Amino acid sequence: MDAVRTGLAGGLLRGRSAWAVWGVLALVALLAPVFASERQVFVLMTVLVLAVFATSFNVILGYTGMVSFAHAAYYGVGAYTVTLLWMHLGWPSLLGFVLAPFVAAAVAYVTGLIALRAVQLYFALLTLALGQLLFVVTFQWRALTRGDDGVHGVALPDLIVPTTNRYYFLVFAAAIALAILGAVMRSPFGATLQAIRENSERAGFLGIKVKRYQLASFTLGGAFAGYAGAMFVVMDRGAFPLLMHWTTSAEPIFVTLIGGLNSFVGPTIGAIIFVLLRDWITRRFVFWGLILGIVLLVIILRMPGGTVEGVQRLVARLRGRRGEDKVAEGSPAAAGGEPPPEHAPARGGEARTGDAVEPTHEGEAGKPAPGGGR
Amino acid sequence: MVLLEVRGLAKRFGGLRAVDGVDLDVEPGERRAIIGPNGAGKTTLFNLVTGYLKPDAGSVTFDGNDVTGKPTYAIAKAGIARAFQITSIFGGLSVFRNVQLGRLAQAGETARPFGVVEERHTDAVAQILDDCGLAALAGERAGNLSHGDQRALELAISLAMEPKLLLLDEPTAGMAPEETARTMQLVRRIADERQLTVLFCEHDMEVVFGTAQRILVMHLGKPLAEGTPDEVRANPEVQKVYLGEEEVA
Repeated sequence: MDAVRTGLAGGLLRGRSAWAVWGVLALVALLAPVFASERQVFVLMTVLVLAVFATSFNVILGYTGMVSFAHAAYYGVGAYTVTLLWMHLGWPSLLGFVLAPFVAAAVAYVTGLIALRAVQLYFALLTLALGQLLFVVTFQWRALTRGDDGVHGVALPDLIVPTTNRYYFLVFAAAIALAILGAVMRSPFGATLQAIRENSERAGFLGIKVKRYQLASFTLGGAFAGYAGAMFVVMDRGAFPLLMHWTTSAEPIFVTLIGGLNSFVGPTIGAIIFVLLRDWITRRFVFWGLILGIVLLVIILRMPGGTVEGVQRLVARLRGRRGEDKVAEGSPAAAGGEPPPEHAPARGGEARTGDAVEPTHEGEAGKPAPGGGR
Repeated sequence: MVLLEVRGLAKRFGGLRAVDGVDLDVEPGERRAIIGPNGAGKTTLFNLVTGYLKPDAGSVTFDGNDVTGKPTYAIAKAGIARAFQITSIFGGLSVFRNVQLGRLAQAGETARPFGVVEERHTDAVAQILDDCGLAALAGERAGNLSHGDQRALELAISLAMEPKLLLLDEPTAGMAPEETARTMQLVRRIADERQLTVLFCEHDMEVVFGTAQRILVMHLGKPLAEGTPDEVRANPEVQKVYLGEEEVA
């Protein structure tokens, strides 16, 4: 029955091994300031912000199967919620921090409503346009945002001004965000999003209002992007328009692909690898962008499905050498079956079921109709 | 009382009258078949009934409510489940989760953002998997299943929705003869056990005769004949357009 009850067969880290990974991450996060220099603690803060940012993005990409280029806009909306309320109204930054996800959610809801009038590629292009629109408004409206100069020196509560305290505040903030998103993704709602990703047409025939769920997913992701933006302000004490530029949206895409979009922990792992690698390379090489790009390219090409699945495959192979039976039976990592290597993020080639002329049978055995509706 | 009432349903694609004035009454508990050669309009008729296509004319009444042209999710909610001609499952998810999604949808729990999905409806899902002969494959990735097992899963997902009316679009498409016999036996058994109303279409007449109580024969979008299997078999017009063609083929 253990095997029966496991949900996803798509290579999700689950059960004991998932908790073990999170336990190790939490332990490292809590002990890090003891060993790390102040500069390194700042690097770790970047990891925390990016982990939340990328995980919120993966709600939309990995779970729901939609590609959005507007994610940085909501990140920026969250950051500017904190900074503008502080600058113009003198509101405490922590109040802005609490409000940021709600403001970002509202913006994501409205823009999502517009973008979801289209599907797939056209949806992605609409998010690009809407995200850039928000960027341009932020960039040009100097009276409100100070434009390109950005806002700096946001006042923080005294308690979190020291670097170590600020770091722990962000650890705590990231833990809350990841716990909420993790709980929602393993709920029936999370399962429904995955169903929409796998085959949106079939989901509709189950009685699911696909667009409404896509909008909910988009809004949820946007809300936590805003939350990550607020975390950024706590780290950086400022905000600037570049946060909202569409190129910033590429960062969570990269990070998610590195870590793996088929697991909840993937983007967090990706954020760790990405930030630490970038930090290491930028301090050693002049043409760091080129080298970072090559390294990331190799990771993504060599490990389709990301680092998490790469490690899972490796573990499965090592276990397989010790004895086949062990893998076949219900260890958590093997229960749902190791993800097949060709399980690539791109799900194309939707098999239409409603053709005017009765379609010919798809005869080959074992070929699923990979309804890639986004 | 009639469960499904179709009146004068029509759909054209450009110059092609895919469905051209079809009437159909399905009684509760009935096993009804629609047959006709390829291109007769069977799948289009199903698409119209399930809301995938909007009809140009005519009406569909289900369980006393007018559902003509309603969106697919609304018709599914009203109690019509459909298994597809071309297998349409959630390939990257487990077999168990596939069926569980049908149950979640039926129970109206798909929007629930709390609780652990693994723990929902496990017994009911296990029962359905057992009924459909998929219990051993529950943890398998659905996309890895054989064609026959995917067809069975297709049926299992629809059953999990506990529909009032189950539409099966060529349930034995692409199957070997022995698989066909097994699948139709499964359909008969489940329909009897659960007292399901089943409307299914096929182009293989032999598949239909053993399962359906009444048959509607379609040809070029129009209803050609209707009756019990024996009546349909004896109908000279049916023999002309349909059985004759089979013999040639």
